[in-house]
Amino acid sequence: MLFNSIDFVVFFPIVLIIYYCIPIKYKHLWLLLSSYYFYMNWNPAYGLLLFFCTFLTYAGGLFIEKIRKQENKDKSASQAKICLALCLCLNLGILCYFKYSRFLGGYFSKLISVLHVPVEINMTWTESIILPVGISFYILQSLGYLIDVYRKEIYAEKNFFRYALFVSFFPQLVAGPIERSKNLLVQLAQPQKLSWDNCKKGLFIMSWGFFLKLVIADRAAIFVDMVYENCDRYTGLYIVIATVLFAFQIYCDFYGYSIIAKGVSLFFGIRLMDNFDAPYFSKSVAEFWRRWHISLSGWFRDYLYIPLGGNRKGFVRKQINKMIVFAVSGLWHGASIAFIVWGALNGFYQVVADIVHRNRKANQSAGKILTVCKCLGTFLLICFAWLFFRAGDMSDALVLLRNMCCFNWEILVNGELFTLGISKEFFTVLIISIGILGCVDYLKYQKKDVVDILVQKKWWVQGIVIVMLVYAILVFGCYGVEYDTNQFIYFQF
Amino acid sequence: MTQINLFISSFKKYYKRIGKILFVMLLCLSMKNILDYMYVNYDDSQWVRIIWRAFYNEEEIDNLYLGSSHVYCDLNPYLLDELNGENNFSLSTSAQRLNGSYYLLKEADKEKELSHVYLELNYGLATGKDGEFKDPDNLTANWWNVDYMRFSPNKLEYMFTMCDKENYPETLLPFLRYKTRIFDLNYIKEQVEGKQKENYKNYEFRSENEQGQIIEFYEKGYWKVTRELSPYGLLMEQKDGLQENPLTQDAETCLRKIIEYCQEEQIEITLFSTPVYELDLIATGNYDAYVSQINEIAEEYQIEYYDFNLCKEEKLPLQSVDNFWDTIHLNSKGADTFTRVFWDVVENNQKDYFYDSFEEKLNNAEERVYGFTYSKGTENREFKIASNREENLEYRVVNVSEDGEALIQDYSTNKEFSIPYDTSGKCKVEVRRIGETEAFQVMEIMY
Repeated sequence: MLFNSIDFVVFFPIVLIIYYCIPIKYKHLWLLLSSYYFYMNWNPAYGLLLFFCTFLTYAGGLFIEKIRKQENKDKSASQAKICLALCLCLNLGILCYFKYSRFLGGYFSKLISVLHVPVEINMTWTESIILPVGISFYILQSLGYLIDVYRKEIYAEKNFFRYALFVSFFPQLVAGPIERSKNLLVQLAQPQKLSWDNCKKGLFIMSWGFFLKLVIADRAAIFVDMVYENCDRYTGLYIVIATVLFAFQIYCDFYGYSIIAKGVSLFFGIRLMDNFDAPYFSKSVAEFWRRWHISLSGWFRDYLYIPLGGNRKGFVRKQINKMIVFAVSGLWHGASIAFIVWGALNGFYQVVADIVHRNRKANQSAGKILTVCKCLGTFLLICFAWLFFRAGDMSDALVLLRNMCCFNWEILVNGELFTLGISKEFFTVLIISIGILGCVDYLKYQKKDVVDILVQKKWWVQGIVIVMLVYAILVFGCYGVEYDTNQFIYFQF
Repeated sequence: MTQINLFISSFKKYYKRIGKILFVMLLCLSMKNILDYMYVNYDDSQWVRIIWRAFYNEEEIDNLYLGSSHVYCDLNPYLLDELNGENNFSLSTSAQRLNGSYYLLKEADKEKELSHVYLELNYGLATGKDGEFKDPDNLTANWWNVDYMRFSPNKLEYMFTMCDKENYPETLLPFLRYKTRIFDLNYIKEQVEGKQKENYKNYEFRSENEQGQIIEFYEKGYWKVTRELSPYGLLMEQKDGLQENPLTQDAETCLRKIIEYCQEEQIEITLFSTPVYELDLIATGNYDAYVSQINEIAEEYQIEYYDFNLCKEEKLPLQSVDNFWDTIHLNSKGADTFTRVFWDVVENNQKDYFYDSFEEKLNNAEERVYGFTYSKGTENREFKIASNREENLEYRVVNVSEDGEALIQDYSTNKEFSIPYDTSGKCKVEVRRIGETEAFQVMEIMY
């Protein structure tokens, strides 16, 4: 079920009303049932996979905790480590099977044919594997819980249903944020009463999320898809504009989903973490990654970068660790060389920046112009990396790079720009909407949340803002039969 | 005392919140109305707007006529009032399909004391492919109805069953149907000005062309049209051909629901099909398949079905261009003739006015050419002369264009010839019986 579908418009109020009508002890059960219904709408069979992964990590957590209580500390530590490793292998094995079989199968077949190995191995079975929606998210979330238990940062959850809800909580199940047990599990254990302020805030946040998704992301997608899916036909500025638009498309798509999830959760009195923090105002790639997909970056930092040694083992090792983390992050996003290149490129930017800064004192009082240049430079570097991400295929990415080196400035004035599915008027709306997003994000960068500012205003101002936002979505949004309802991009990961 | 104060303060708090929610809802509604006023085309749905207002204003209705444009063009309720002394009302709307008729019937039954329902069954709106009722291209007619129906559970049910869920936004918010014109300032100006015109405000419509031919709307469900069928209308595309049991599953289900609803509510129901220019039925390939399926259903429920396309020509002499304004709608002259025969038939159950099949009717009618049917070839349009005889007739066809006359074929029994796609003009066809020297019919057909 998609947030931007009619089904969700029906599903959400029903779940909410019943949630607040039933006794407290059944609330998490009701949310669990609703979450499984939400998930199994895509494919009922994948509900079983979700259940299996949930059960595995639940049992693993309890077992690790039980082992830890044994008197022989050395023995218990090694047993807990084995148990953790087993659970990690099983879960990551499931993830790899669904996500990388086709990718690895393809390369394996190629390798055999290149080496002229006289063995016939049929790898076509890998092509029938369909990636379950959200698997990368819920597996990372449940593994995070397991590692936290192992590290004794939290107690293992005894109530299976509550734990199952932690893994499958529907607003963030399929595209994050990848929540930490310390935040979400605790909140699930203490159901809140219906709060007027939460609902009001949730409504604002959800509406803003839908605006980002339907007015910006899905509109930009029309242009981006046209160029990227016909990469040998378009050149120069078309590719540049499409890539810049893609930067906003992916941001609004993913940020949109994250805050819709946040808004929906607020209706249930649950506060999800912020997944984005004005990333395109970053002054460096490293800062960008502290502000982009915060839950994933945090996960990789805590469960991969730090265990690898982080920055504690010298400069060179730190850079190697960074490259490993970003290459893995690229691979997490998709089973393709282009995604690995995208991840490695982001890692490379930071390694270069570290090397440059190592020999230079930090300039504490950077002027405004320099700050703007830094922001712009960072944005361009990120856009360059997005090109590989969107192309999804190295050969297409290379074609795009080759075709980009062509100057066709005339398309800015002769109207050809508006022949790629977005009319001049809707292009203007898109640019204005991106401008509004820029203003909201700038405030956020200054630590001022627009929603917090809004809820302080007079109630009638709030009413007017929400109605205007809803109508802007209805009038300028991409939905309905003339558009293919676009899934959220991060569902595929 | 403290508890009372607490109760009062919490009551005030909730009261204020409800007020705030109502304010937002009112704001939403106002925005919707403003946008509807700006974008909803005032001209397209004028008829539906007029008929729904007239329907709700009508004090009582004895005989209700449901159906598509064929009903409001072909049946004159004012003449019916004179003929039967009862109150007749035609709640007929453009392209009304049977799912629409069902909800309109329920609305009429809810609002009025009905004694008899006459349901029109046009083959064009009941055959085709399954799922066509919910096809986005066919939703406009239903949308117009729900736009002007009063709010009720029946209206809600109609709204949510008429279309797939992807179309709910456009169903609920009419201005969304005009999203492609969202920046068209001329269009907005046209709509706002159109809605400020006196005739629009007064629920009136009358248009007159240069030849003095008029179209005028009448409140009881009647279009008075004085236009005549033009030579362009005598050329029709050959349809795929109706198969056995050609009603779509949707249409059959709705038809049965309508009949069963009437029988449960003890409202008499009669089914009928209005007469069309026979070229239209010849182009269907097998109209009798449709007639026999409706007859079977009517027999099953023991109700009457009158297909006036099967009516004997001497009883209903309509097959000339001066009775139609297009091939499927009668003009006011044809409507007056038809309305009288219609009431005679339904009142006196004049079964002997009808042939058993359309084929039988064609064979018994005078030899005649109705026009041309055509199918699309690779390079040419393949024309076929539509007549009611397979033998005994010879045709001479002449192409008349700006360059002069060119003979396509001299008198011959051949009915088929080709015309290239990128040409337009006029064909003159002369028809004579084999063995005779003089043509008994000359017809000009524009293409």
